[in-house]
Amino acid sequence: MELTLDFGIELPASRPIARRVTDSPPSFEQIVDAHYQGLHRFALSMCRGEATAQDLVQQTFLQWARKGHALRDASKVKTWLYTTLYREWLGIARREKKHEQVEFEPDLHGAAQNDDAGENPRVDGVTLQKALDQLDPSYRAPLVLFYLKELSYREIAESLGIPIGTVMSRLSRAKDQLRAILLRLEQNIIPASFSS
Amino acid sequence: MNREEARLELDATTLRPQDASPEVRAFLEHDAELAAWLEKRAAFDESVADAFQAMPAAPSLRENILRAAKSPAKRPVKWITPTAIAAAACVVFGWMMLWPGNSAMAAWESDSLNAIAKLEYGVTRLDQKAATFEAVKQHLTQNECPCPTALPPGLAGLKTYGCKRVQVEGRAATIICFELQPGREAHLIVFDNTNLCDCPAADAPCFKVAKNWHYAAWSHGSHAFMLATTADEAALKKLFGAA
Repeated sequence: MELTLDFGIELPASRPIARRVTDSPPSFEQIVDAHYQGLHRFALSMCRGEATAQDLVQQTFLQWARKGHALRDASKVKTWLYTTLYREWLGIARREKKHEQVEFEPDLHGAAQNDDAGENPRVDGVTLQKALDQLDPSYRAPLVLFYLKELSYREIAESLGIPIGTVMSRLSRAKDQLRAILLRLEQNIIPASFSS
Repeated sequence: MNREEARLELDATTLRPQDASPEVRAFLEHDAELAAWLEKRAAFDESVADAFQAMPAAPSLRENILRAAKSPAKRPVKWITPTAIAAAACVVFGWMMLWPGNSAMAAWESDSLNAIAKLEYGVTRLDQKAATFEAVKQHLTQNECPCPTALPPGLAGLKTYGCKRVQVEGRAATIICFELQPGREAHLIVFDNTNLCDCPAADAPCFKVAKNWHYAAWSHGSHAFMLATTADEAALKKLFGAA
């Protein structure tokens, strides 16, 4: 279903994105349907507040409505949306001064590389959110995008504006950290070094 | 490609194995230990991904997004400031045009007329609504506000709207609003005239005009009075039996 707008924002549905001739351009509503849940999960994992997460998703789609027509490559819609949401979140985080750009220091974070001994921990939504909250945002962002399965690691790098090699190393270390946190949560032991 | 590079790429593609390069797949075929590690890692990643997918989506989010996209666009912020300034200038200019008090008047007259004008134009509201002068008088007496002991003859029978306490030259004053004609009011202001500069003459109303206002000023006993209206001069004088 196409959306009819009666105001200044022109939705991209009325300006077809370059695609194969046989493809019909996706409408705004189709793009929302395809991506709003994933974007919401990403936003919720980053900002930890439902209201802010919903604002971020809405703001992302408003940006798409205003600027999405400038995107030439239809295959980049998803990356564009995740990039926009991440930048919106960075703006909020900077304003609230809650997020500081830090480089990963394995010693500080107690990362135990390849420490895969024993069984994998059990995971549910609540425990996962608790564990994610203890990760540094610079590791949480690629990790959440990875687990959403929406983007390849190359697209994750593009969305977050970091090199591919950095994404791979951060993913690996973040998974090690996440696994360790989940194991400790399972045992109800949370070390201070993981506290946010 | 060394083993660590292969491990990092495999780790980044556990959930999307199609993204792994042919080179790293070939590497995996010859490294059983790495393959075992990958199998366990992939199982962990799948369980985490499943937990992610189980997170409930906000029920009204989709509708809110679509509704927000349909709602009217906000006027660009850059227009707000000049528009607000222009609107404020219009209000100030309009008020200056209507503002009856001026420096040529006695200070108390200017104060009084401006206070009355504010009430007339709805800038301020009545403190107490009352339909008769007796009710107004009772309220003023109870609250120890300035209250006239005698009224011009034409005012005595008029319906009232109510009263408001104001300050004139730093003195407590009361404005009483009467219905002079349908849709037209007469406002009587009263306050103590002790040591009042340019005190109006006793018991002899002096009729004056300022902008679209006609008013009369006089004293009676220890009180100074002004009766002002936007009605014509004849209507004002009629209240004193002078028309």
